[in-house]
Amino acid sequence: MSHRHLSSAASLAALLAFLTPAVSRAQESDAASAAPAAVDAPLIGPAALASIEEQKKELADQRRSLEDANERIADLEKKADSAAAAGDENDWSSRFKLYGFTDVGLNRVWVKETSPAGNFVNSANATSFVIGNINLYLDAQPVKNWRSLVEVRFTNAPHGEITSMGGIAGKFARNSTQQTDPNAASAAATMWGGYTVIERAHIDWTGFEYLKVRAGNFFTPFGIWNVDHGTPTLIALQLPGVIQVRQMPLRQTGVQLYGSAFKGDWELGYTATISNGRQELSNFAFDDNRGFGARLHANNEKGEAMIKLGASFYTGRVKDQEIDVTSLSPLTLERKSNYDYREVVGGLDASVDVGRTRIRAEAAMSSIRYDDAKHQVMTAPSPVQQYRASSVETTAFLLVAHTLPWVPVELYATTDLIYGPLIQVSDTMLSPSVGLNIRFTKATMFKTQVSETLFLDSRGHQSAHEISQNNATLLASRLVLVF
Amino acid sequence: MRKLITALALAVAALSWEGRSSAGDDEDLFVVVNKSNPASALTREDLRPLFQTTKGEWPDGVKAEPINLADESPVRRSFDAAVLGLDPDRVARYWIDRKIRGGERPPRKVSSASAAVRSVAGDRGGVAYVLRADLSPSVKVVAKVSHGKVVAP
Repeated sequence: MSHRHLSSAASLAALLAFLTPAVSRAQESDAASAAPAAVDAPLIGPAALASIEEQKKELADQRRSLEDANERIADLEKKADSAAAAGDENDWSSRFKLYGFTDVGLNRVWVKETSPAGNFVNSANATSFVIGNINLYLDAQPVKNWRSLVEVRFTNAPHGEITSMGGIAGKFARNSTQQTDPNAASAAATMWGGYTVIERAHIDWTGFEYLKVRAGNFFTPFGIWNVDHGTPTLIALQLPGVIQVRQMPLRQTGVQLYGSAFKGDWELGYTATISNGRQELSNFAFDDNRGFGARLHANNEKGEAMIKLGASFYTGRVKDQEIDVTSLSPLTLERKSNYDYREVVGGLDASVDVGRTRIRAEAAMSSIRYDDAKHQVMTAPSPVQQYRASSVETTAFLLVAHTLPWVPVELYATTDLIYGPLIQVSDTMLSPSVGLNIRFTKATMFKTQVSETLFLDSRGHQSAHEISQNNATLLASRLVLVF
Repeated sequence: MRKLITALALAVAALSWEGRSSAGDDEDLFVVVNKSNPASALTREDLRPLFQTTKGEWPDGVKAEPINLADESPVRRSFDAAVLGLDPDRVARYWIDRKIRGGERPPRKVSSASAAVRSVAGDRGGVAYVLRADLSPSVKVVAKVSHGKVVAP
């Protein structure tokens, strides 16, 4: 609303406020004078009566005019509210909103030349500028209680990905998405394609506080990190072990029931999921085994001390599926799986914010039990074909961050642990790290983290010197913008 | 003479105290709900989850529709400090985090106190906060924010 409109509206409102009692008084006066007029008619002459009628008409006109003005004020305020909402990047209250975040920066990994694991890192011992994330949210609430949220990430993958190792492993090959632009006006225009990742795509029905339904593809509600998910929200840049080893499926396709209730200062909530299970080979289910998950959480967000406690659970069967032609005449097909296992994962997490200090802790334990003769073949870096054993894996991290009182700089330290036979060079990976986040504005920040990855073998199967060859130092920095 | 000076000093102190309390009264915020809302008094613990949109319903099952004023409004800042316990920077960060996590949307914003009152008057689940000067008989007062504290109306 312009200042001119505001000022006109205010003037009209003031006029209305001033005139309303006057109109009432005039009516009372009319009523008071009308009653005796019937008895003492001769006391009022025709001219006075005409004058009263004229005043009545004038007042009625003024009233209509003020009502019109009030409607106009209301209409202008409504338009101003809509305009304010549309122009506000933090108000996504209209029916459809686009928002998201971008981060760009650099990575460097320092590894020993002799490190078997380190040589799998694409840009080992080189500083590489990178596009971190370009994530776009499409958020629609066309009608009350219904919402669709789709988050897509644009990447330049798989350009540059190693597809085959050289030497005794075969011919070295790297993926390239380079091609001539078929739509270009020039003959020699080149373009490089990239994947668009569907981070999540779900429809929510939010009819009741204690029962909401989500259907589609969603982040597994497990722990802190997997839900916090985005660079602007996460404190640290580097992924913790629970996410790196994908201890639970990071996303699932299925149905989620969730809700919460309040008990005093505490919000108590639950989530229950049924899904296709871990879907890392396909987006469809190979059989009718389902993945089941649950999470209970208790939140207390009182501002000066925000506490969130959670317990998560997931179980499901994982298998591959191969379809072989065993005979051409008659055509016979055989459907089989090369590996098949059940996984059970449990986790606990705590998140505490007290003043300028933020603490995050998460621990998860998983059990993988392969069916007989259905063990999974290990992939690189082992040059010899080996099968994964049934196992128990544990991951945990602790992060403590503190924002300085005089500048918007948050310093943090974190330690991440992975314990299990999943790491083929050892059984334990410990990653202490430090970092800082500088907040320039509410929508922009700079994040950086340095970590040391230490490989250990608690079973003493390998010499400490042999294992330490794989130790690495990682640096990651990102400039982040939320829009 | 000393008695006169003491009396004058006391009078000045009393006048200045009177002035301050009446100014404070004008700065108090009044939390208003729809007249059909059965609530008669709300506490900070009731208001906080409504304005953080972690709670979306009134006890009778009616959908809650909290109404916020613009971020830069001093009235909004006072309300956020008293009810959410957050300064403007932390409020901004809170909603950015919620947005990236895919959480519930923040309360609807309106540009003026009169629009807030009108929204609450027209919506059974409406709840907003205004200064005394913006109060209207079309809504019901259920709490007061006075000197940074949420108190009974």
